[in-house]
Amino acid sequence: MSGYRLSAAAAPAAQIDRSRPIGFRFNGAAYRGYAGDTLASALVAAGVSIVGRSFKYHRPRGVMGTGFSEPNALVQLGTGARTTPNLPASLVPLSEGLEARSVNCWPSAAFDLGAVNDRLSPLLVAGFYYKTFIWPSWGAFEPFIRRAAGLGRSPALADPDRYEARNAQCDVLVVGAGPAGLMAALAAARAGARVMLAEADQRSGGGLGLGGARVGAGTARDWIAEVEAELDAAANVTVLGSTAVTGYYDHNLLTAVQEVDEPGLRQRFWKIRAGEVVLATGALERPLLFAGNDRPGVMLAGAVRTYVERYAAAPGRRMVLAANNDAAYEAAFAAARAGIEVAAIVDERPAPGEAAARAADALGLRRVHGRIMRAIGARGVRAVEIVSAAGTEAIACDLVAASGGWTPAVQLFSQSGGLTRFDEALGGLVPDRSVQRERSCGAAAGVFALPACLAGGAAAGAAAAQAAGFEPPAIAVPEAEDHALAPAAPLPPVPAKGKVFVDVQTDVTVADLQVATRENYRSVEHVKRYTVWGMGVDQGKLSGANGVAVLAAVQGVSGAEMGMTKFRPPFMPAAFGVLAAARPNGALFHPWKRLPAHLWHERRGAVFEDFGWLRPAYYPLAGETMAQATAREVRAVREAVGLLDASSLGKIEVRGPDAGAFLDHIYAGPVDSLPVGGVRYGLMLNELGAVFDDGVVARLAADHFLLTTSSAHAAAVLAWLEDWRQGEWPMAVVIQDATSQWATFTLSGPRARKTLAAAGTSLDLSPAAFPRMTIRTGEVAGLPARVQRASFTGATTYEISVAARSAERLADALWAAGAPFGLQATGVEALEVLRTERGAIDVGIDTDSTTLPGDLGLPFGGKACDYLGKRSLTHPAASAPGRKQLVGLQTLDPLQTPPVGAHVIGGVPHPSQGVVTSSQFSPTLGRSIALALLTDGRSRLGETVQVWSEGRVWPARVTGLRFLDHADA
Amino acid sequence: MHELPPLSVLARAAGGEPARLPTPALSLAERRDAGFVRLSVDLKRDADLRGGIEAVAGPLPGPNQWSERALWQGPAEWLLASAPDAAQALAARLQSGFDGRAALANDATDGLVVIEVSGPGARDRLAGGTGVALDPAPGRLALTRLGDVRVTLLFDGPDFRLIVERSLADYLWSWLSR
Repeated sequence: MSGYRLSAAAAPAAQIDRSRPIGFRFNGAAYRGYAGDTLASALVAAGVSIVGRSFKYHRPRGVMGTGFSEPNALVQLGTGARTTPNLPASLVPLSEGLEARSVNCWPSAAFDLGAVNDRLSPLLVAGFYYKTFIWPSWGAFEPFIRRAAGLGRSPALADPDRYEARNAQCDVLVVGAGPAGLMAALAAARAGARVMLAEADQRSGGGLGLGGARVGAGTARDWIAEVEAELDAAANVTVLGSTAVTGYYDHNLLTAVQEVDEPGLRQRFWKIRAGEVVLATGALERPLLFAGNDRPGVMLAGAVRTYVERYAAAPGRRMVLAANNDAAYEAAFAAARAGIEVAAIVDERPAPGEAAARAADALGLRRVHGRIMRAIGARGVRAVEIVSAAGTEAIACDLVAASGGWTPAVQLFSQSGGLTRFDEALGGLVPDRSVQRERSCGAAAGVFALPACLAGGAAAGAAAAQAAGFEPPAIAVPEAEDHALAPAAPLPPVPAKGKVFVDVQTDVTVADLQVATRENYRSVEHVKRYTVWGMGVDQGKLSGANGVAVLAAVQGVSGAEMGMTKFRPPFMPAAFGVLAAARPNGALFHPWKRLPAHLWHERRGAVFEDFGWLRPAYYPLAGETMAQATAREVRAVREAVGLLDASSLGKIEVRGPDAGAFLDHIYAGPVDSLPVGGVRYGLMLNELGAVFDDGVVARLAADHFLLTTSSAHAAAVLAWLEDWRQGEWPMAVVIQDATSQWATFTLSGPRARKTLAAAGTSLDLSPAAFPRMTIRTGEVAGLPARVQRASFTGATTYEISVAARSAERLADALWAAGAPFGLQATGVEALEVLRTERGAIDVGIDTDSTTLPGDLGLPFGGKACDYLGKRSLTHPAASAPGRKQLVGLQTLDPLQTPPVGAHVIGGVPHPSQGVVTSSQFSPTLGRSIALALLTDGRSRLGETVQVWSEGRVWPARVTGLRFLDHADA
Repeated sequence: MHELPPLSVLARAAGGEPARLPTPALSLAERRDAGFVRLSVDLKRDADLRGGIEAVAGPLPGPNQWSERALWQGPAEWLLASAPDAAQALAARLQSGFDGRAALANDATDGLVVIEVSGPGARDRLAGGTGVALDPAPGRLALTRLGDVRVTLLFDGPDFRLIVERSLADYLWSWLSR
């Protein structure tokens, strides 16, 4: 508990608002922070040294980094439905009433029983679960392992927050608003390009915003404010703060998650299509490798500086800086200026940069050329052990600021497909060759000196604007002090007693990487998966470069030869809710399609179901069940007349001199021989001969056909026809989808003709003038109409189509006309019974992707011309035994109705011989009827089989498909 | 032929007025004065038909363009604007000039719904559902998917018009006004 809040005098440049205190709770205790704090900085300032427990060993851990670079302080935020697991506390802005808990500890972070794992660590080496949990079987251990694995808890309730999707386009997208990114945005904006600038932090400026560096005439802060003002004022610039770019995909599509401060709206998911991209993503600091480098109190040097200068949060009282680069010295200077005692600067290098050394000496700081070997202390650092020319020395301290140099953040660049190069001097990857329209600048490109970052950013922004077609004006790059973040090579692994962590988040040590190498895991990708190095929430942001360095040293190769694991999106953890933001939840989750006469059905009391369209399933009278209503509707069609809305059936017009020939190629049956006014049932097959759709074709004129497809397949049939027309057969034919133009009602039943006549029609309805399977054009109820005689139910049927706007008028007219004849409105439930009684198939329900026409008992092969699927039907497999064929089933107990999906059992070698595809209770026959795809079914008529579902068995007789004779006169 | 007044597709009760949703940020309005003829003809193959069509229907716009008289729908398809009750006659007149060629003109008025989207929030609302760039571009149109629904998006000054299949109009309206 050594952290504390610095006074305003000690941290004059801090960006917190001391006039706005904020109360929050962490692990049940109440704390206070200030506006501008993150949860991590507030915890540091509150002296909370143990913020969580480690993944495997449950070692106590403290805040180590800032921003994306925080491996330890993973918190479960909020409670109940609003809980979010595994958020780095350094990314959580402090807000009033915020409630957070540590993950992966029980009963508490301060006292965690899981810490016994730390004592058992010799058993828990890399790949331990592959080796240990083999006997008697993995399955015996799996439930316990699963319980122990993972970090936070996912919410058990539905997410009450709202997420919003937003698409955007721009000429130049700049990722990162540090010095390079700001200059790039400025240069592109002045060229007139539409610019978007995304910055993950709430503030822009990156590391430049911290100290007192001078840029141009004023301070760095002044310069940042100036640039911000210019960008904000520019109409062609969109600045997205608190917006982390999470993915870089093909064709310059980038995704970003924006934190939104609006009631009820939590985050916004951006999909940004950019002409050019400038990656100014900065660099990530590497930890140092020494024993106990995970102890609370060991922090990244850059993080120490940030907490002190930006948040006025002192992480300790007595500090040792251990580093191998000049930039890290800033942490010691910042600490010293803030009144934190700096016990020593331990530098790996014999001679630090001149400026750094001078500044250290000016502040009277002790400098040692040596190396840190060990941090001493379990629940917090008490001292460090260093080795120098003078020998081994212990220095008392409660804070270790460690820096192993900086690695360019090439994650997004790598995701873009760009090729990286291992820079030995830098000890990390740098962008080498772009694949997409993208350029990196600043620290992301391995450039660390401030003047070079500013110039590089300006050049990248100008080049991006130019590539996007704009003429960039010359832009003055401000003079700047060289805050050289001199690159530093990573340290070789330190041979020392105790655990040296490479990946503190997943508890992977140098010893684990050594074990993996000894066991011949050589590729970085294999080692990663074997040891879980880099597989934590931070995806190796801290551990990647050090891991490669260790493996390279252990294997005796160079870092370049070792390579790096693949970077994948998302760059940071993202809630599922925000990834799915484009799709609304609840009622709007999936589009519904409404029939033209939807309101008419509502008034008739219809119960709607989504069959692709919202269609009436049945029309219950008061007190009726679905089965009762369906039975009544079926009886009406068999004994009187039923009215069904068939507007959802696909209606496709095909016209042109080659229309007949075209359809002959499409359908398995003959089409071109159809006379004008004729209607024919047809099957469409795919190239494999399998049934794709069935429907009827009507010939309206010599060169003009109307196809009626099943409701569910209308879109697929249209695409299928267009595919063959546009891509395969250069025939003189055009195709139009007319489905939504028309409303279609069918009158079906022995009194259909009388009803239609009573509604008033210009058509001669006598069977001789208007027989089955013909189409006529005329008037019905005073409306222009197409009337087609084709029956799905087996009863006399007229399909009447009128313009969609007249749907209700037609329905009203038929309703009134049919009343004296016992007309009932019929829904899809009744239609399913009716068509099953007649043995009419429903393609996709009674067929699968292997069903050939012969399997349905439908003739084929009689047509001379070529058609789709013809060749496949002549293949021996098409007529070989063992095919699944559609048959009828009648249970021996007529009142038992087996469910769809029930199996016909008793087969060899597999017990299932087939599946029930349709199953209904027929009120007409007073018994259950079913259709089934049965192995060799068509040669098994009369056989008694066993139908099984979920432990119940029904004996049933195999029959033909037709349960009821046709009555369509 | 169509002696009925065009009914509102989006009305929640039969015979209702065209749907309107005026809010300060986003204004939606269903237009029921728009009639359409869907024209399918491959003018690469049947180039000689262009003259006759344009004499009746005006110039046919090129890819992703629209005018008050015609909208591009694909390489061989256009929507021709007309008064709702005149669409059938226009279709018949065009068809009679095709003389047995592979060309089709049909009244499509009843199958389509036009929704006007305007107001300061219009662009953001649409940007939540389509990846199309929404900068004002007079005369431009886009065939795109908006919230999982296929639409024709017309750029109309600072505002937009959506043409959507009748069956999906109710969903799209709910999506837009959510």
